[in-house]
Amino acid sequence: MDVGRIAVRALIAYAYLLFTTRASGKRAVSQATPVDLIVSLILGDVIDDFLWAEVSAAKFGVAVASIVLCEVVVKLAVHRWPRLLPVVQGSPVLVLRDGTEDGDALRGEQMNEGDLAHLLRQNGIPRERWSDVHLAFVETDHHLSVIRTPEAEPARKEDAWRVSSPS
Amino acid sequence: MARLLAIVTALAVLLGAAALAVHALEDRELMVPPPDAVAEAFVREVVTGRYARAREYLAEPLPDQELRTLRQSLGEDPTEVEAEVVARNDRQALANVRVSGGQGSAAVAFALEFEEEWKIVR
Repeated sequence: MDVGRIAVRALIAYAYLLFTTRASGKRAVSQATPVDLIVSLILGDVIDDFLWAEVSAAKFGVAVASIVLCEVVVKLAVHRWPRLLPVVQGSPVLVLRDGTEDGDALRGEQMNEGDLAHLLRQNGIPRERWSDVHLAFVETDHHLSVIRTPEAEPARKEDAWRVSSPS
Repeated sequence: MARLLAIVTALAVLLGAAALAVHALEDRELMVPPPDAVAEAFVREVVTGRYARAREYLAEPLPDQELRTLRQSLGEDPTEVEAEVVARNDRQALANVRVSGGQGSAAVAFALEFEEEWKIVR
């Protein structure tokens, strides 16, 4: 197959995907939900078919536009009706409360205690300091959000004032 | 709403550019699959038994029985399908498809005509 034509098709596909995905809204890769990942995989497969001329530009354009339009419509619907958010993106799951892990919640997220320990270490909390955690949630993007107990929170400017001022 | 409009506009521009390229500039292989890609894709669908999808590459639909006969003539479990254009002009093309597998190789020639896109006529 003519390499020049492959290059031109790649350029067309790139420009079209760049425009349509930018129009669908910005989201960092690290914040991607499972649905974002699936959309990316579908678009990756569609561009492959166009690059090797297995489908026409019209079919490629319609396929990409349909997928991206679906995503935009869902995002707009979630923005308009926030109650749809748990249905579309899922909800944060509480996996640790006051230093004690919730086995059922971990199972529901297909995680074990080792996975939780790993995520907590990434937040600077070793196993022996789990009691410093008031609440820990697995977010919909599978990051761990940690809320420490007030005693374990780092000291702030106001705390220094409280210590030094007579009461 | 602006986002929806932007995506629809991008699609309209792409469809317009494709239509312009095909109808005004007589593009036959940039915005549409070239004849060898069509012949190759048709044979791939036939040898995998996906006759409904194979029919999409034909100008006139063939019954399953004829496609099954073609599949048998191409051999079982081919490992490689490769097509090349033998002759072509703006409206007609002749493509040769070679199918190779454990039992040897077979070749089949297809005549294609352009009507909006390349279609196999025989």
